[in-house]
Amino acid sequence: MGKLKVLVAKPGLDGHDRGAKVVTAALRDAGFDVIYTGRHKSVDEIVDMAVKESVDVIGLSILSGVHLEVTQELMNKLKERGYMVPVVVGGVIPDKDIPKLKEMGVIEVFPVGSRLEDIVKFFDKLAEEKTKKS
Amino acid sequence: MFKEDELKRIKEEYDKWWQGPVQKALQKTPERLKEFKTYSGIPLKAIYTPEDIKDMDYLRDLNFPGQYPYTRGIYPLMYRTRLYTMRQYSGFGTAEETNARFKFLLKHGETGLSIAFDLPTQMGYDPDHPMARGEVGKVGVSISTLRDYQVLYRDIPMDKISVHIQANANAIFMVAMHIAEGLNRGHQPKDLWGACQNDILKEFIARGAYIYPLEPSMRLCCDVIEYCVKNMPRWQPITVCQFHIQEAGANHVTAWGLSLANAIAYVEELLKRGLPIDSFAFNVSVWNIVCGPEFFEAICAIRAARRLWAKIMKERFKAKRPESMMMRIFMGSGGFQMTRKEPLNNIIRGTISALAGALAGVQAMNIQCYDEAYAIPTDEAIKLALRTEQIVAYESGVTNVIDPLAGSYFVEWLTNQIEKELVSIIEEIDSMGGALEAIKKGYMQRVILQQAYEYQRKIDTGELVRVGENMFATEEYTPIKTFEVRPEVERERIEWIKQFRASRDNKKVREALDKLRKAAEKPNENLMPYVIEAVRADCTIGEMADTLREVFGTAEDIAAL
Repeated sequence: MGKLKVLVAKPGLDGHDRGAKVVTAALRDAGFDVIYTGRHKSVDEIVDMAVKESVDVIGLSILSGVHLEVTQELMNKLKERGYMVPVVVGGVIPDKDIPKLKEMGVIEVFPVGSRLEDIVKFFDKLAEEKTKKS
Repeated sequence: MFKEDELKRIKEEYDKWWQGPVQKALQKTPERLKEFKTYSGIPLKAIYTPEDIKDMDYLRDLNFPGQYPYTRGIYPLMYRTRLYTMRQYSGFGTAEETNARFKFLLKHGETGLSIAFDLPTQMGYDPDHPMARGEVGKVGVSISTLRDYQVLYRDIPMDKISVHIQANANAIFMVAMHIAEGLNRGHQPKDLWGACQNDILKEFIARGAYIYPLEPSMRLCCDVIEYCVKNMPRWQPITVCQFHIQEAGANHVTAWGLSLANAIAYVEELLKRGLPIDSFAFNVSVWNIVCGPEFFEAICAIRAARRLWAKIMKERFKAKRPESMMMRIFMGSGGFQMTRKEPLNNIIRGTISALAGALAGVQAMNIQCYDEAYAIPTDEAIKLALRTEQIVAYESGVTNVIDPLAGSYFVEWLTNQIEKELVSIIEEIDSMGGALEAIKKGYMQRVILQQAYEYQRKIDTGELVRVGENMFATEEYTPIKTFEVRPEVERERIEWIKQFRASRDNKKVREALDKLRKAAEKPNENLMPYVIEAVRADCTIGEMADTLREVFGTAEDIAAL
């Protein structure tokens, strides 16, 4: 059993999966259970997968500029399903959009150029918090 | 090249130098790094001498530009007769907006076009499809119909300015639109000048914009190639991509190797169709590469790949025409090396890349813009990228002498070394049964991921340096102006496509799609003429793509994780 169960998701039509796959590999090496959705998933498919697999956190990877629309849709659908888990976003995200994503409820944003070490540290912290709560 | 006794003397003097002054210098100050390697991991010595290239035969290994094996370039006088084509990847929003940007670039001296399509267009969806939501006009221009394509090309002569249509899974639709619009203007297909990307294999291993499963994707790709080589002598119907494989994480040399293996798969597929090698080899020997991030490695890889491809064509595929053996190269500087921190530094990265490309004799350039890590480029950023190409071409002087680095002990040694590595990558893929098998097994995907991961670790530890990002980085932040697509584009496009569908002759549309479906069901029918007919009957990209989805099904991600 890993520290946390993570769903790394690639929503929509953008196929650039380097970041999603590298983060998946890094989190696995750090002891997390990671499921990668594969490319071209609709938000509904992502939410279904998250619920079915009972993941603890969802990471969205978006590089085509649709992060605001897609993240909002995901947050709405998670709410509808009553499945409120932390959401993290990574990819090509302009600075000015970071506060907007956080307003939607995204707990952290990792734009291109983020260090793997920092990403892993962040997930470690999430895992710690979860242990404390339970 | 060198006399034996001379080599012996050089070797003796080298040993003396190494034992004497070098050791003394090292005692005083050790070397900066424990080991020196290229970006792709080739170990480097401190110095190269005639000893390192002692087996080189000038006429066999280098020869003159325009002469086999084309190490020094594919044309006799290279840039002394014609400079590389300058074509910046561009497109966003509507066809009108992109047409305006094309004209902006042409006005500033661009010499060719390169079209960027939005993801719905690339993936065969109309703007009103649920999968297109949020994506319309975002990373490229939204094109659904021939009407859009006409607007995109307004006032631009199709026979005088060459275009590179950056379409892959949708290549058949976009080339059909190009042909149809040409016919509208009175140009026969044979007059049209340009190229399309149409490299579907790299979509499966790197970029991800595939629609259909591997085999029907390969069929569509080769239908385009076959149609074009028979009807469009001024058209390069495929551009084999090293670029996206490197961008997805492979190191520079591995990306070259995998792209060569993919190219071999295309050639074999076309041979299976019964096309003689010399009828198509010239048209398919076109590459799109990242010229970087390392200066010498990029230059030497180009020289090595050019030579190796010539040998493959001659020895493996028994090509006879010299043109069949000439690899032409469209370079980019790469998006991945463009940092988010201190984005102006990217202008310098682009310049180094352009300089390497010019020294290596590429045929066309696209320099990634300094705001790459933020959004698609502003007018200012894309103009600066074009200016970089122009300054290297017209001011630096490097375009006046052909292959000026030839003969350097280091450059020739590294060229040889890279060629050997490329050969071993190709042999590895051959041993698995070729590129298609290697992709189905997830082998190429795994290699790319492993190298991407390794790269990121090296960036984290500082083993690979990005100035301003992981070295000399500060918290200082200077915001730059970034480009935004008008938010109304999606709504406008959705309204437009709905009106368009209501106003056209829908009986003609249904007939054309029906013919396309029936042709697709026959495995040996070339679909290009049917798609051209469908485009001319006002079918949309989404309708044509859906028709083929019904026959072929859709692709699953072979993620290999």
